Amino acid sequence: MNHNNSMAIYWRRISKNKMAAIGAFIVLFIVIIALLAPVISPYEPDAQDLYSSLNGPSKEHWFGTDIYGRDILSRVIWGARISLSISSLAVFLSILIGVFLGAIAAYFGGVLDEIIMRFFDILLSFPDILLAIAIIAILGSGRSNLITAITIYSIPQFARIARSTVVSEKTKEYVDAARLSGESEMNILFRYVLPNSLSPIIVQGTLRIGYAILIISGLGFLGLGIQPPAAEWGTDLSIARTYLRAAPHTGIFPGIAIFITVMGFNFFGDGLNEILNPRMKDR
Amino acid sequence: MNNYFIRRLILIIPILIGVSLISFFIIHLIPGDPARVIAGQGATSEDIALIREEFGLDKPLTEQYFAFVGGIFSGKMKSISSQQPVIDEITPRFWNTVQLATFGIIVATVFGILLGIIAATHKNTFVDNLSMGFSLIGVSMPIFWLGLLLIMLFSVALNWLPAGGKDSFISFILPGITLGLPSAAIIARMTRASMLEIVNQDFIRTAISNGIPQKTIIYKYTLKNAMIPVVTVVGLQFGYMLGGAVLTESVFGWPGLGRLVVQSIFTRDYPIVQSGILLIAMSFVFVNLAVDLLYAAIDPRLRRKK
Repeated sequence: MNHNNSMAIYWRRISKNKMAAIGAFIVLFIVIIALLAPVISPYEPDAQDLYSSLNGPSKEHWFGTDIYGRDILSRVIWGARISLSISSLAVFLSILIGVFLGAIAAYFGGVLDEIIMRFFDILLSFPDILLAIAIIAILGSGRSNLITAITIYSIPQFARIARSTVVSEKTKEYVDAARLSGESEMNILFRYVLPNSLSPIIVQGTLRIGYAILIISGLGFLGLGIQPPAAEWGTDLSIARTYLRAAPHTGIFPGIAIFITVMGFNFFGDGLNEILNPRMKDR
Repeated sequence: MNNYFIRRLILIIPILIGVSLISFFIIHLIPGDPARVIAGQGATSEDIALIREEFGLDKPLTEQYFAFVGGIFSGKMKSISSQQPVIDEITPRFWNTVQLATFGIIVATVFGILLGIIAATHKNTFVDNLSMGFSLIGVSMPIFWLGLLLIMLFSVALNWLPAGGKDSFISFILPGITLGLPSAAIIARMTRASMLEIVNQDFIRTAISNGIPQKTIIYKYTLKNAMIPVVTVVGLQFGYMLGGAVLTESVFGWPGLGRLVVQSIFTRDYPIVQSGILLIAMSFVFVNLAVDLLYAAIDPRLRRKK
């Protein structure tokens, strides 16, 4: 089976799975919006117009304006860029680091395994958003620190997936065969054993991007994430909180954006899981 | 049989040490001189020296670590802004968080299990799709936005419930629902999956073929067995709420520990940040321990392994 062919098969399966298809559609839609932000956004996201502050939705401003008179639609569009870029970069980095650490822990076993995995157990002892908060408490807020926090937050998940694959694969015959034919240990691990963990990592990676977007917006809402005036959905909602009575629309649209984006990744991830692990269906 | 319990108890010791080490290192991992960072901008070199002295930052790390852990509990460690012992500052706040999380987990359990049962008993019907659709919404919803929406509806538009504070039982309702609903979604999915798995097992088929009434089968045999994994999920969700409550607390101005930690990050009150994070993580570790032990107690299969 050549590469193109197998891609075609996946696409056919995705289009047959309703959930995966809806998820893929939403994700694609948000990605296009993020990429085209400079072209499609009607205003500059941080252009203030204090004469038209807190205006409701109108022909000029479809989603209305915020307290500084900035166009909310434009801020929601640019917000997609921030959320998607930070979350996907952080998840990508955590896959690289997590898979590497999990794989060598499992493959070499012993003390190395114990040290690495116990360390991740400790990281996982900080519930929910707390680990990200602790890291921000150390590093301070800002874009690169946020990426670091989300990356560290996601590493243990991928390490565990890689580890469990390697543990179950490393005693199989093909590994012995490769070793007898003189392949180096690193080669065996990364070229033959690890590719087996690809599908759970893709599924988990998709779901984790959704999670990461929730954490980014949560930290933004707490004032610990992306700092104003940058257009970030959670940060904008924390500003809107003050004006809920006068201008409820400011608290609606950024929230819808987070919700739909995260739902897209969840649908896509769950659907992929059904496609890649058919046994899990119906559960 | 007691082996499992003892092993599980011993296992939390390194975790607790690790968690306390991370909390301890928060101050040392800050880029630059920690004393200067705590002192803040515009501090004189005397201020910085004073802080270095007060925090024992010139002493060896091991000594500092033991002073840190001991200082929290003995009351020697003081908040920078209020000069009160941190233990007196964080305990009442933690208690508020536990109260909120308890109310939240009750909401989550009641809604989640009900929804899960309804979905499982109406598998692949409109009702099933509707309740699973709700649970998918629940896991994608940013919790603080859910809180904002509830405030807009019940406090601003209808004026039925208070938008914030912690004054009476009524103040629990909105934050409790906010904190509970996302977990209700997860519990509902787990309940449904678990019930459908049990229904397919041999002993249920035997019961059906023996002509036992459907209600007895669903509520007595299936539900009872299906609850075992659900208990675990409920426990884990309760643990997550202790950490995740920080967002709900911020939306509703709830005087909880998570909110205190976040406020203290802004005021650079590191003793509060460190001890608050440590307390939440420790309670999460203990909740997880309790869940594991409870699971072993209700499911004898686990105890017999190894």
